[in-house]
Amino acid sequence: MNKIIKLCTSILVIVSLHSCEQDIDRFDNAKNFIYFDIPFVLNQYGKPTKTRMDSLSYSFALEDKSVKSYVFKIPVNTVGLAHARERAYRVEVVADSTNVTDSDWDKSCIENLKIESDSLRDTLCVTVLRSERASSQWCSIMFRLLPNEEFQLGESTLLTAKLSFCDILLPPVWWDKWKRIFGDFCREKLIKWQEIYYLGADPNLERWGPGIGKPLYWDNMPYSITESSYPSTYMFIRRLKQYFIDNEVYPDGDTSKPRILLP
Amino acid sequence: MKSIYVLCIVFGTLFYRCSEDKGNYDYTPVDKLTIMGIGEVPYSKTVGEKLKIPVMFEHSIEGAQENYEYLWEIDGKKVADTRDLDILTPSDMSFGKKKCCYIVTNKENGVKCFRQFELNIVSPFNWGYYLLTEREDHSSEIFYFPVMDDSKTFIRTTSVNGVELGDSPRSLFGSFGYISSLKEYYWTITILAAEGKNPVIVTENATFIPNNIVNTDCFVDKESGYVFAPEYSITDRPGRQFFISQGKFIRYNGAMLYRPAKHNKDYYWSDPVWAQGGQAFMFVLDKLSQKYYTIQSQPNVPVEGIVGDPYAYDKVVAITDCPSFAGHTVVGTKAAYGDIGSAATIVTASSNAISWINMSYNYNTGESKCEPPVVLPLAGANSDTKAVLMKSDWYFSVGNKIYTSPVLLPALSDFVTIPEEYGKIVSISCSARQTQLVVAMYNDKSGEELKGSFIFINTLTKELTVYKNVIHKCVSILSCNGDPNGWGSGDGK
Repeated sequence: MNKIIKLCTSILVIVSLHSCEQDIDRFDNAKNFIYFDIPFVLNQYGKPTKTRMDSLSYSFALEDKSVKSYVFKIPVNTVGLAHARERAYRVEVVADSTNVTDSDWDKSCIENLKIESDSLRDTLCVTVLRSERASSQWCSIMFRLLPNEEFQLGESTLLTAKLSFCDILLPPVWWDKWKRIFGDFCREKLIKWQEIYYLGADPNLERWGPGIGKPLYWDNMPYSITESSYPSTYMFIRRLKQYFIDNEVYPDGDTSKPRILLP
Repeated sequence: MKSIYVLCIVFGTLFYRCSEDKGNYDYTPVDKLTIMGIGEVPYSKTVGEKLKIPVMFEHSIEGAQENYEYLWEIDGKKVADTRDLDILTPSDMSFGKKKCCYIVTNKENGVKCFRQFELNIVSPFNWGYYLLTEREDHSSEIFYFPVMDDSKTFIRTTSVNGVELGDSPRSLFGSFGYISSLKEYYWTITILAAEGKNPVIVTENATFIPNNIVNTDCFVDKESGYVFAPEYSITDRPGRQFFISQGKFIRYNGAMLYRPAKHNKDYYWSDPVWAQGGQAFMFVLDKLSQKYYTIQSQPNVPVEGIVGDPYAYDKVVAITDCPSFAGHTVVGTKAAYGDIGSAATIVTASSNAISWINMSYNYNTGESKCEPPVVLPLAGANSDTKAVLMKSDWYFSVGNKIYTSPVLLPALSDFVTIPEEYGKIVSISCSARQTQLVVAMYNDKSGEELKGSFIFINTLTKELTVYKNVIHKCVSILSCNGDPNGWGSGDGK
């Protein structure tokens, strides 16, 4: 029996010693990979899912007219070791998936891109402009990473990043849920609703769902559309309704269209 | 080799299992303990208050020795290891109900006996009488008379947990019901004042912390210029709350004030009475025309292009045959069921008389009717007369005298005369369970700083329990001395 124990112990010691011999530098650090670290889609509770967003989007429509530009920030990540020197990387515009001209964005944003020394990450900042085109259609720019002497291409699904922007007022994400109460979306309704149900108008806080504890206002609408659970919100909605009863308002001022009213 | 080891272990175990059972058991019966003296109803204590629970043990074996260890826990935290509990409730304890446990462990055999009970940590303001008083400079002060201790002394405050009461106090309104945040039934207390930045403070008699402060900033339409100077607060049967402010009827919902009701002519509303049937309307007196009306939401009328507003009682309906209330002061109201729908009894005081007027309204048909007034002569009755309905009798004050009359077959009779040294009756109410009258007196000729007195009147024996010169001039009494249903909270009176 003692012999068996001695034998097992010896084998274990030899294996352990042998395992320490491996040179960690044998890992191929000469290869560095680069990819766009596009954010994950959030679930209904505000937690990231495993699905990446297909594009980053923005609308100027909710901003004051004095706002003329917006900066998209695209995270860029690398795989490998950080270096003591700056490392350049390159992106190109994918023409097939891009519908902007030079007057719609600042092309210089994609020049001289680099990962700072001792870093593995960068943020690609792309400035888009509140242009004529943006007021009439969605503008899209797709970027693609290019390999260079510093970086090879990383995960194939993360080599492009698409930006979309416009100056068209879009229904907020909650509108569909509240359509029965607010009716069809139109710019005038949303703007008036923002004016009535501004942040601070309602002292009540969200009591359910992902926004629990946050103040209720037009951009943090109640979790459910149950009137008894959110009586104050409904009193504000009634005020909105009364506004459109008292005031003849038409979509885009076009009197040939039906007057705006809440259901 | 390995097989031999395994066989040895298996046989060793088997032989050991077959060892002789010598029947060496202890058949001495174990003493079964029953703990007595711990109440079934939750103990109600303030933070830092003495909590004393003497216990008694009942043994299943006569003469069993008490060789025990004791443990008292509140919310899982050890508070004592003595046989009886005699502690001050911990100063870091939050308000609300706490699960408590008393564990007795037999040191000899380790047998444990448990007894669970509940402790409710309340504020010093809890079950008792709340008197809203007006000081000479018109500021407000609440005098609270606790009933759950033997102190018989008032606790005074000019604020609700630091939130200052408004000036020119109007009244206290209370409704007893389930308070979800406390998971228990308590009184919701609404304190009304005509002036100041906090004209309405809503609290309850468990924590006495403001739940809501209602002021002009609470209007849904803050830019409207509406002013909130409340005169009445009323909660109808389904729980819809309203205020009357400067004669305007306003819905209070979700801690917000909706716009005042709008009508096609001027009214100045007062003295509301809710619908006994729970329908969404109110009886209200218009001080301009001196007549009662019903008000309710304007429904949608598509053919006329009318879009109703469920939050504002814009629609006014006159009561058929309603007499004029000119020269009368409404001293009491009562919601009831009438023969055509929800009904209201309006009791008024006029010069040397008390009057009863019954009116009813059918919410579905719009039919209304008003019975002829019953007038009872009462010398000295005037606008200072106060009234309270207690069970099936009304009580009326004139000066320092109280008269009574049954609701059915009204006829006045003397009830009690309070000695003149206490002054005149300025407020009258009854206890939560309607077993005693509660009266506030005021003697403006008194040289004392506090010119008001507080009196309990036993309605059976007419015995007075007087606390002289203990309050300012009382404008309203709210009896939160217990629950009105006899569920065991408070003093049960």
